[in-house]
Formats: sequence, C-alpha cells, structure tokens
Amino acid sequence: MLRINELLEQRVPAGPLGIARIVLGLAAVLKGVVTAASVNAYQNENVLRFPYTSLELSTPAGTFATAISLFWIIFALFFMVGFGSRVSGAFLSVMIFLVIGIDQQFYSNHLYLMGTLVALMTIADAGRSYSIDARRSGANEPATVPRWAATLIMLQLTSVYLFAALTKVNEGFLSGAVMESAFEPSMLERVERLMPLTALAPLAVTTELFLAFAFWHQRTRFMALPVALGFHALNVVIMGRGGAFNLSIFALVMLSMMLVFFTRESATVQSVQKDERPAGGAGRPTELVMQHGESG
Amino acid sequence: MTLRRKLVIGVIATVLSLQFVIPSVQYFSDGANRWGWQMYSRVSLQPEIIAVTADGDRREVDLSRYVFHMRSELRVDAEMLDQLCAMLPDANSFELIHHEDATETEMFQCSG
Repeated sequence: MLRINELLEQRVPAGPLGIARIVLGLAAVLKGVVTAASVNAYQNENVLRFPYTSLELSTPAGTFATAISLFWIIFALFFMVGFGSRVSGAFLSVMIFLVIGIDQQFYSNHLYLMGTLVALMTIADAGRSYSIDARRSGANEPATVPRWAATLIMLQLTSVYLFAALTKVNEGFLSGAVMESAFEPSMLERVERLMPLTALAPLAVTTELFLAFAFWHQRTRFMALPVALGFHALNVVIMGRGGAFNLSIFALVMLSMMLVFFTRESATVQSVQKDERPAGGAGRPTELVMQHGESG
Repeated sequence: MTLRRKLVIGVIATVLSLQFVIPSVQYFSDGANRWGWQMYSRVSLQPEIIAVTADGDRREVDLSRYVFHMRSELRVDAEMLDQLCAMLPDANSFELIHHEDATETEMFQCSG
C-alpha cells in the first residue's frame, strides 16, 4: 500500500504525461475552433439565453466572448506544443471555464472534463517532456513530474467512467430507450439485428465499470486500452447524428488520461531526503533515486 | 508541515471533491445534472411546446431553431418562455405538454 508521504514525495517520468498533454492539446485546439463558431452563433439575436443566474451580467458582451474563444485557440496551440506550458495551460483552463460560464448551453461534460484536465496537467507540469520548454531548458537529467499530480489525472478517469456507469443504472437506460433516441437511425437497425438494446445497455454499463478500474492493474491495463479505444470508436460511429465530432473530441480527452497510466510501468523516481547525515555534517542535498519496476 | 506541503494537500482535497463528492451529490439529485458525468444516462424529459395564437391556432415549436444546444439539463421555465414570447410575436400563450409518467399539460401566458 502506497503511503501518503510516498505519494507526496515521489516523482515519476514525465514522458507519458508529455504525450498526454499533446493529445489533450490537440483536442483543445479542435474544440476551440468549433467553440469560436458557437460563440459567434450565440450572439445571434434569435438564440434563447440560458444564463446560470438570472443576472444579465452572466452573458458577456459579444467582443468579450469572441476574444475568449480566440485566446482559447492560441493558448491551446501553445499548450499542445509545450511552449510556456504552465502559463498557456493556466490561461487555457480559464478560457474553457469562461466559455462554459457564458451560458448553460455551452456546458458539456467533455468541455468540463477538458478544462479540468488542462488544469491538472498544468499543475502536474506536463510541459516538462516532449515540449519546446523541455528543449529550451536543455536539462541533462530525465524530466520527472510529481506522482500525486499524475495520480489525480488517473483518478479523474476513474471518476468519469464510474459515474457514467452508475448514472446509467436506471430503467430508462437499461430498457434501451436512451440508446434508441441517441443512435443514428441507420445504425440502430444494424445494432438491433446483432443484439437487442436491452442486452447492449447493461453491456455498456459493464464496460464503463470495467474501464473505471482496469487501468489501475497491470494485468488488465493492456486489455483496457483496446477495449476503451473500441468503446469510444463505436460511440462515434453508432451515435453519430451530428455529434461525431464532439464524441471524437471526448475520445481524445479520455485517451490523454489513459496514457498517464502507462507511467507506472516505467521507472519510478523517488525524491529521497538523505537523513543518514554524518554527525556534525551539513548533510547532502536531496537526491534522485531510480527504482525500476511497478510500484504501488 | 511546510507551506508547499499544505498547498499540495489542499489541491488534492479540492480535486478529489470535484472528482467524487460533487458527482455523488449530483447522482442523488433528480433529473439530468451537470458536473456529474451523467452522459447519455436518462431519457430526455423536455416538454413539447405548442404556440397558441390570439385566434386559437396551435403549432408545435421546434426548439432547435431557437437554441444552439438544448441539453437535457436545461429547464423550460418562465424566463425561457418569456424570451420565446418575444421571438414569436404572434404567440399569445404556450402549451407545455409533459410526457413523463402521465401526460400533463401546463399553460404559459405571454405578458406582452
């Protein structure tokens, strides 16, 4: 069992988190372009407003909203390539939450997830690897990130799949009614020829429950990855109906979290305070110790 | 405990609350809710909206023409119907038909 102190002290290789940042950044760039168009459409007079509060203040002026979406794209590009990663990540996260805050119609689970993950990757310093920042720093030692920050990203994946599964345990979903309304009509017919929706619905819940926990175990991790990729690809194909783009973005965001789990296969780098100081000596500074193999 | 350690613990506690406490609260709330990863989990309970003109003509309102994303968490309430009254000046009132356990009808009068 990993102790709290170990979780707070240990550092892990930054590579997987660097790749995860690129995947998430790509999703943010693509989503930013579409969001800029949505923000523009929202300024049309014939669109209903659903502010979070009854105050008109909650709806920003047009120019302000357009600026937010433009800065989103710029910061997302910087975040993706790892240029000023911490600053661009912090601003990108703020931009995403500002857009969500414009109107309730802008909320979507994948946007909320994207904003949260950008913030978590910024805190985790995901720009330490596979980035312009890393190239510019020219550090000789292998880049590492705090283990607790990487763990929070992994827990985020569990939270999403777990609650997605739990909330589907209701009569409406298990009866197949939700799938019937969400599936592309042509696909619905094909799917029903293969399997009744009353069987597919519990299978979807089981898959999400499996994915919530399977990434945590070495034995199931490599099975979970293709299952997850297949699950999200199927969602895109079956539930298309104009939502294929958003479901693809969601798949990319989920993929970015999956990649972080593969950090655990790598060497764990532990920050060790050398307490065994010679009597009367000043003691040695903190050292990095490489530990090979699975930990925790 | 150093200030940095306290900050880290604060960040962890906040993130864990967002990840597990808020979705748990939302899970037990009625209907579709935000911040809880409730994707494609419930049948949409949005009411059917019928615009009724001064001379009694009735026509169904295609809400998709007036919103750019009608999510299941959005509630059709008085504030939203007031806006719809302004957008459809020939509508005198709206009839909301709820198809839940049983079909129920509700009337909303435009104030203009």
